[in-house]
Amino acid sequence: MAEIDDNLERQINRALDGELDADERLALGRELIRNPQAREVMERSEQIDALAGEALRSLLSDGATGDVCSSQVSHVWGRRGYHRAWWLLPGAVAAAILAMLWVYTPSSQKQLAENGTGNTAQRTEGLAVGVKPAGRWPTVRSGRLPGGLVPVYYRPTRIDRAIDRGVYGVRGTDGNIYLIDVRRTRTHEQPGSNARTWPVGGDM
Amino acid sequence: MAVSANHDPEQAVIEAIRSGDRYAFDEFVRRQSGWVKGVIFGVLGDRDRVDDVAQQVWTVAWNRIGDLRAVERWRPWLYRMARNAAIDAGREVSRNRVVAQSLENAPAVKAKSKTPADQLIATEQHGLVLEAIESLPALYREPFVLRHVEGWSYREIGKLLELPVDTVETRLVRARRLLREMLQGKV
Repeated sequence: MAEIDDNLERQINRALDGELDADERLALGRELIRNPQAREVMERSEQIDALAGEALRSLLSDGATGDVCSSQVSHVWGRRGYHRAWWLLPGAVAAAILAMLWVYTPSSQKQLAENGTGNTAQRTEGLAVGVKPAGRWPTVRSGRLPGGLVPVYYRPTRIDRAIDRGVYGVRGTDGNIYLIDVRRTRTHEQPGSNARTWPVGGDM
Repeated sequence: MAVSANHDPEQAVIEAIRSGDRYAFDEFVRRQSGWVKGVIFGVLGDRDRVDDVAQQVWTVAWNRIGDLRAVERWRPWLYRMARNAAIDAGREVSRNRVVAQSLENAPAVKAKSKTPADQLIATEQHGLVLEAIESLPALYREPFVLRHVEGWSYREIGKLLELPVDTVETRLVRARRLLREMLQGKV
């Protein structure tokens, strides 16, 4: 096996590890051209490095450490995860309350839910009429909560439409009186919201 | 993966793990598995036990990550854990070997099992190279493995192993010299 100067061997190692700057690489290149032993060490080291890199990466990336780790961790999960379980009980209670709220909606909403289909506005002179967006009304089962509050799971988007109508008489140049029917429609959209309660008699 | 960075994205992952995010931990394991196994292999020098020891390291890491005071020091913390686990595993192998010798009066038990598959691999170049690496003194093997698994610079390896850059360089030179000698005429 080729024997070379320690300093030159160091330079070769640094070159293999990408630790040489441009000048040092140039100097080493010149040395390798005129020193066949150094060239042999360089080539041999490159070959071993390449094999070692492949072998090590293959070895250390093989196996299912990550997956096994997940399964291992899953059974120690309880030990570490005990502090995470604090929300499970209140979460379950909250879910139960929400489920109860879901089934409690006012009878007026029930009426709308049963009758209304699609965006249907009833025309009333000067009166806002609630319009139910299709498919967004909660299932209505029964009554109300104590305290005059009506629980609902969510409030759907509400569209109020007001139609003003006026009939005006205008005398024409021919002496006749013409009636002009004027209708003005105003639409107000109120975005929906999540679970809440609000008083009975409120404009839902 | 670079060891040093002004902004270490792993810190956010560590915080998520500390708050109990198991999926963050899985991701963390996937990203750090290479060098952790490299450390274990570097210290232990036994490829057959790397996965088992790595498994212990990750389990301990999961249980103890809440004890990590300075999140930015997560890498040295994990390194020490991997290194200690590998040292303990090495002691265990030594103990078992002594017991086996005394009880059965048998020749030294080799740590790795030689299955037909292993024998087949050993005939290949990778197997030869791995055996040669396993035969290196741990002192030289550790930086050599880290260099080849993660491609870390001398400075990065030195930072992890808490060694001066010159020492890292010297150990790598000697590791390569020993490997050239051991693999002479084999690969």
